[in-house]
Amino acid sequence: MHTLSKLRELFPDGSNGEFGFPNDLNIIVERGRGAHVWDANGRRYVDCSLAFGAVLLGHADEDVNSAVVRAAAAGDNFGLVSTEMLLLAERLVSIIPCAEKVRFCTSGTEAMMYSIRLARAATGRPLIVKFEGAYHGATDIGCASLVPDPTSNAPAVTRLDRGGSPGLEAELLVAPFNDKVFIELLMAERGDEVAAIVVEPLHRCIPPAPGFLETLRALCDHHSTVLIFDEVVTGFRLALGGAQEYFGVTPDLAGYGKALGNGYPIGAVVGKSELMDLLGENRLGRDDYVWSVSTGGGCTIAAGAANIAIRRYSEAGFHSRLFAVSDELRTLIDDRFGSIGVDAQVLGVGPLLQIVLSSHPIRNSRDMAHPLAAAEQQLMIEAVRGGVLVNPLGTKIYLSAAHSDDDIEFVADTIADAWTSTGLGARTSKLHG
Amino acid sequence: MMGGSITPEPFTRSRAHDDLIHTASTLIPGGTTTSAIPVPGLEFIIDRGEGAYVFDVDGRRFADFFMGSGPLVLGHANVRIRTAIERAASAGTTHQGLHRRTVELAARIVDLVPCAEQVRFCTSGTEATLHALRVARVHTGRRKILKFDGAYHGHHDLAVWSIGGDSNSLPSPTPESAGVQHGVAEDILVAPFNDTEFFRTIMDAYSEDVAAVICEPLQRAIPPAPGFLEVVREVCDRSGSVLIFDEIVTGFRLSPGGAQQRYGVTPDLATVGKAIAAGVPYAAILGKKQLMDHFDHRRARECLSFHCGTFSGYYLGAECAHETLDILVNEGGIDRLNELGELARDAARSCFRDLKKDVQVCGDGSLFEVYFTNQKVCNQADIRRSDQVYAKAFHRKLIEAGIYKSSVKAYLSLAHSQAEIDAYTDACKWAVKTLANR
Repeated sequence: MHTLSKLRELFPDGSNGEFGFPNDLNIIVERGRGAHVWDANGRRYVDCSLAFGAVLLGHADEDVNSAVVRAAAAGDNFGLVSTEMLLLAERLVSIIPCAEKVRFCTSGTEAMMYSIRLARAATGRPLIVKFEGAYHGATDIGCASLVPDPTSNAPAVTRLDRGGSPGLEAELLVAPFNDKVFIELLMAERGDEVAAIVVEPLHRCIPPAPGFLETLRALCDHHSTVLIFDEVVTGFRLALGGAQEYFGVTPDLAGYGKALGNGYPIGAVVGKSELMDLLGENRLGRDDYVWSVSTGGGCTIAAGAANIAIRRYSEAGFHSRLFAVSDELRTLIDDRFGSIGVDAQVLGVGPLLQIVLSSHPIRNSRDMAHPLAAAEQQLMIEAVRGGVLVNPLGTKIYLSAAHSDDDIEFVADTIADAWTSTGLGARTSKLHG
Repeated sequence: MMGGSITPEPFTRSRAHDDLIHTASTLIPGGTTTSAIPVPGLEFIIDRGEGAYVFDVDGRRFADFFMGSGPLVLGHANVRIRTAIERAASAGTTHQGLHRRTVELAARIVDLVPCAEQVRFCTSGTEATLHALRVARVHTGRRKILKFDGAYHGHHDLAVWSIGGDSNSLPSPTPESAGVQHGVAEDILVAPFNDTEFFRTIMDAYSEDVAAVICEPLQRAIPPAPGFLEVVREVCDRSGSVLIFDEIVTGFRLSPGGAQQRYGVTPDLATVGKAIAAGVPYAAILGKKQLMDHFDHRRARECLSFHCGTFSGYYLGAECAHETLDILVNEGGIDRLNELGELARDAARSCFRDLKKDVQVCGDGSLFEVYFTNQKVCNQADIRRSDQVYAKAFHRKLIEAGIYKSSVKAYLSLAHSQAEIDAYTDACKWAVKTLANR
């Protein structure tokens, strides 16, 4: 395969950054439509990665495409506010509980970077609290402590690589998700130095324990700390107003990306005016001015895509249908694994699912580091071999509005087959034994 | 049109337009979200763009010398880019896994750009420079970053230093934003562009500590002095520092291989963005294999450089980039852009000479800027010494005269022609005369 050899020659790791496939599974994509992706050999996959969650309506959605074609005819990028961008800002403010103002950028990484910068500038405090295992983009803080350090009993600041800046260890506090006592003690001790608590309200696929997000809200209120929700994954997916609507807790700032543009790169920081106003250019030159600038942020084709996507997300029954299909997949996986006798559970909420090969309660990322965690990645790799496209590193399953009953049946069967036909079952039962 | 006797229509806005401006300032801090800062009293909301022009919601037309701050190298709403967008949209815009055309694009880039042996795509120039700087740190095991005063490399924590602010404290950086992680400042060194002696001295003092020297080879609109980039290259080689060219602005614009080809100095890593996809968000990190290899996630933690991004494999960006490169490289687009740049600089020189106004007309290729000073402009300190108060008033007048341009630099596109250059010089004449009569 000429293109495949080019891929390996021209891209470090034969990938563009997050595939984590064994070399024989690197695919060249030819096209996507709805819930399916075809590779250059014409092989069809049921797509449960959806471009890492960037697509929620399905690939090549016709409504989105016509909006894009229309927007492109009027030009894409102006450097100033366009009517399309303004319309999107109005939509976001009307549907997202915490949103009073909006700033656009091109990615979730940028949105989270701005949010954290805003919190530090607004409070004049240096410390950020994040939860162990949470991913908030490719910045120093965003990817710190992504993998729990097995040598330490408590969460600690760890780095994925040596490319970051000093100061991280001194300015980042790491807490276990869903541990109310831990975060209360931490905030009692350091709260007045903490600029922000940043959290994925659905922590990867682990739901917040009842009252946990409320605790974070109360602690932030008490210490005048900024509560930031990373809604890059959950935005529009759990509910029209994101996780903050779904879980009923309103943060001060939130970052968006992924599904916002249904396949078109756009990110947004939204939040309370008193914080967002620090971005205003009328403050240029002042000590509390927070600088943000983006060549591609809020470009009209992405804003146009987002506008039409949000209109679709707003349709009556959109989320209930999405959740019904997703819950059906949960049931199917439970059934298949039940009849094989696999000790497993399916984490997640709505169209976000994750198979965990453990029956122990999963409250945080430390609980995810159980003996069969590596087998979960292997299971996803085998699922790709079987025709279900998933991200083997994240092991998260994304569903879209385009997945049909046939699709999810195929996904459940493929995953069950992956378990039995690869000997994974035999190998792991030894481990269990 | 010619002759400088224009009198522009007074800048007015309809009630509905005023309402939109108000809504924008209510919903969007500063009433802006991208890269241009609205001029107080002269704000306008864009309805559409066409070729070298943008139109506000009242239908007022502006000749565009901002061009989305650089990416619109083919002009607004270029029909071939629209077709490419439509083609990509019908195949799904982004996927897990790279599209055939994305891999082909990487091959094309490696053929064109001198330093490029491998490629990683990302969403924005900011992401590109962030990852390039981190790779340099991982590779060298060092932490310090040297940048040049006035250079712009995006807005992550390593980049928001010493752009417009004062230069009294060099080599210490001046912060451009609140809220940056403490400790970052200690890692940033700042040197004046085009000052060989300063650069050598600072690099001698920190030769063991500098992970990367990052520079815009054409800094804003200031070309490198003869031999300057060569010295930077030679000093980096000697100190073992990684040389990064930020070619977000210059890549595929100054020449098919970017500024590194035009100036004949090859960096270790380069970042490209903006012009590469003619307006849609797309960027890339390019460089030598031994550096790019750090992105391989199977590497041991000591030599891994983490890179990740949802939209990094944006197929639509690749499709637009192919179309753009067809036009710029295969069909002589860059030659035409360079020719337009020469025409614009010549026209500006002769216009201000006629006006007896002391200016320096700088730039290269299809980029130019006019600085109000009688002193040669070689770096940011020279720009600060120019009459920036006048420049600000002058740019207000340009907007009133229907020229949309930032005060940093003017961008030309393939949609521009002698007519827009004339409109620019006509507006310059009116602006200078009007300001003289105040």
